Amino acid sequence: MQILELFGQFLYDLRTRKLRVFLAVSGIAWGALSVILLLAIGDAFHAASNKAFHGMGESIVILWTARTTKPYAGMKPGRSIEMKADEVLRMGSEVDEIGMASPELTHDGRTLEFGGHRVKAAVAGVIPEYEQPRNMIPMPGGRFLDPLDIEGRSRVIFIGNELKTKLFGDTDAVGHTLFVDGRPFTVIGSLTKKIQTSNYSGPDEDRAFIPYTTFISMWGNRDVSNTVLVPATPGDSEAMKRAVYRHLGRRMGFDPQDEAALQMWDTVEMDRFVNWFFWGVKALMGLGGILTLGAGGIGVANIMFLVVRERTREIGVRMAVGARDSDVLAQVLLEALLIVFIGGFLGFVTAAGVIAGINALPIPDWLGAPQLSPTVALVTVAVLAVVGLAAGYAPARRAASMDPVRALEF
Amino acid sequence: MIRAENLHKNYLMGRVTVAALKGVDVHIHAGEYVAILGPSGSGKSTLMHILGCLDTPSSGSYHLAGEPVQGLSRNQLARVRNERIGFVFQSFNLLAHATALGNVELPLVYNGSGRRVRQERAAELLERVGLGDRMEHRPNELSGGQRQRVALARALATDPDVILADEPTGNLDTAAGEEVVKLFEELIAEGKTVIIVTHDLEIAHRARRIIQLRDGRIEQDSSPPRWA
Ligand SMILES: Nc1ncnc2c1ncn2[C@@H]1O[C@H](COP(=O)(O)OP(=O)(O)OP(=O)(O)O)[C@@H](O)[C@H]1O
Ligand SMILES: [Mg+2]
Repeated sequence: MQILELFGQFLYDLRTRKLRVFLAVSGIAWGALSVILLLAIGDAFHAASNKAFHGMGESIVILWTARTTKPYAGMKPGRSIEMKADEVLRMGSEVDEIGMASPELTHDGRTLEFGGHRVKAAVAGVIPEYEQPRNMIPMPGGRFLDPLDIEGRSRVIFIGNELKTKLFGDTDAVGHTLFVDGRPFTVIGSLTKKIQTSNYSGPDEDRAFIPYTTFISMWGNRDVSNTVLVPATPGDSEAMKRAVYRHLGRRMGFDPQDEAALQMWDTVEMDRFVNWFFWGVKALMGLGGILTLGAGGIGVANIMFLVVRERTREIGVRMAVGARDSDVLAQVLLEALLIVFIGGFLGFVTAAGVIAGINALPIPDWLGAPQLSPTVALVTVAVLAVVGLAAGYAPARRAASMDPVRALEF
Repeated sequence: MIRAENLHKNYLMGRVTVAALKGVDVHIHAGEYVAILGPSGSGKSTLMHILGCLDTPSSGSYHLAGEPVQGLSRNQLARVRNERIGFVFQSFNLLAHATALGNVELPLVYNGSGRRVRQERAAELLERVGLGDRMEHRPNELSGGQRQRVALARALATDPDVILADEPTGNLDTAAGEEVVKLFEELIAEGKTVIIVTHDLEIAHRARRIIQLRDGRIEQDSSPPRWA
């Protein structure tokens, strides 16, 4: 069966049944449009939310020490567990399941001053490795802490973007000296604005970060406020958490089964949940689109039944000159697919226009900018093919099972 | 070439069974020119459809070119129709949206011929039936006689041995009918087997053999082949 002849047939149907072909094609176009838009918006929303959830960090575990609830080695329950920074670093190097462990010492309400502006903010002492998992992305021209800063207890400071704006306005902060509780610090970088939906001691945009060694020299060797952990195996936070209980239980003297002795906030778990949630949202949206497309498919099936009926005699002629059942079947199926893909193409073009329109509007960050991604396109094409085949199948079967003489005498 | 024995065809009309053929025997040799005559409703078309593998008998046996036709699948029958038989209908049965060329190409589409081969063959056949200057015309742009000649060219596309024509001149005036009949006679000269149903006695008498049907039976066979 030649494609050209098929097109000829389609054009003939178009001429003789303008309204019906128009309705069938626009039904599919409308369905394709909704599938594409819903998928694209769902994807954008998912991506934006993922970014936002990961503002605090990707696949990290935040650890706090707490109180024991079980007696251990002659000690009563209710003892509070505390760690110093070196204990955290030791844990990081001794526990294989840990990929990275950064102590975080936080001092709230410090005074930061620059050029007559002064603000109160929390200052945290951390290590350079804190940068990547916690998404501390410096603005161009700046940097986060480095090992030399730790070694030299340098008076260097990395500031959140809100702090930067409050102290420096629009001007560049890097290289300037600001005062923390009256002592001079050189600004080495400021945070790139990020969407952060979760935090533990205030959003990063309002905080400042200095080497933990510098922190200790300024405010003493305090207990850490919390620890940031990254599993050695990405995503495998469970093994790491068990290892942490064993290690700290031994080091700090508590029962590793005493869950309450430590508190851990596992964003890996949350990631998993968020991903499931969004898959659910996308599946629902996709389903909505597919149902719309399905309704369009029914329109196509309907017109194909009419086409087959009106072409009964022609089908008889084809059979009389040697068309096999499969030739007749293929012809009807291909015509259904052609209608569906023409409709799909129109839907696709319209969707591209609508998406361009949406992106020209000020869309809130949390919603994300919808894109016509290859995945969306591929899914749409696959769904269209399924709809076309499903819509064409019953009419095609009817056509292919006709009796040649009955068809000719129709 | 054709050897049909004791053909019966019954149609079920609601509760009533209509017997359209009641035991027909036909033996036709390669190269014969046979006319089938008979009153309306005598079973001429029914017989032609069975001989043309468009329909199957309720009982009886049918061998075409020595091969049994009964028991063939739908696909196998389609192949027989495509390769061995050219059918010409009273009402032309051309595809309305296709050109003369496209219509003649159709059987070649279904035997898998390539585009070039199809077009060359179809053009050659249209030339032959005198429509070399009408190849791009659609059926509604052609006269009845021209349409029937397109249909005949189509029947010849795969060069089948047997041409079956069910009242090919029934919708034509005398002049146009005459041209079509002349073409059938040319085919006979080339050694094809031609069976033609007609109400026109003059046309029938130009055939070498006349089979008369009446009420589903053969009433008379003018020259039963002695050499069978
Ligand atoms: N599909 C059918 N269903 C029921 N009866 C049928 C069918 N086709 C034919 N018949 C009956 O079979 C008988 C033979 O019909 P057929 O068409 O073979 O006659 P015919 O000789 O070709 O007649 P005509 O000269 O009018 O074309 C008739 O009685 C007709 O009513
Ligand atoms: Mg008839």
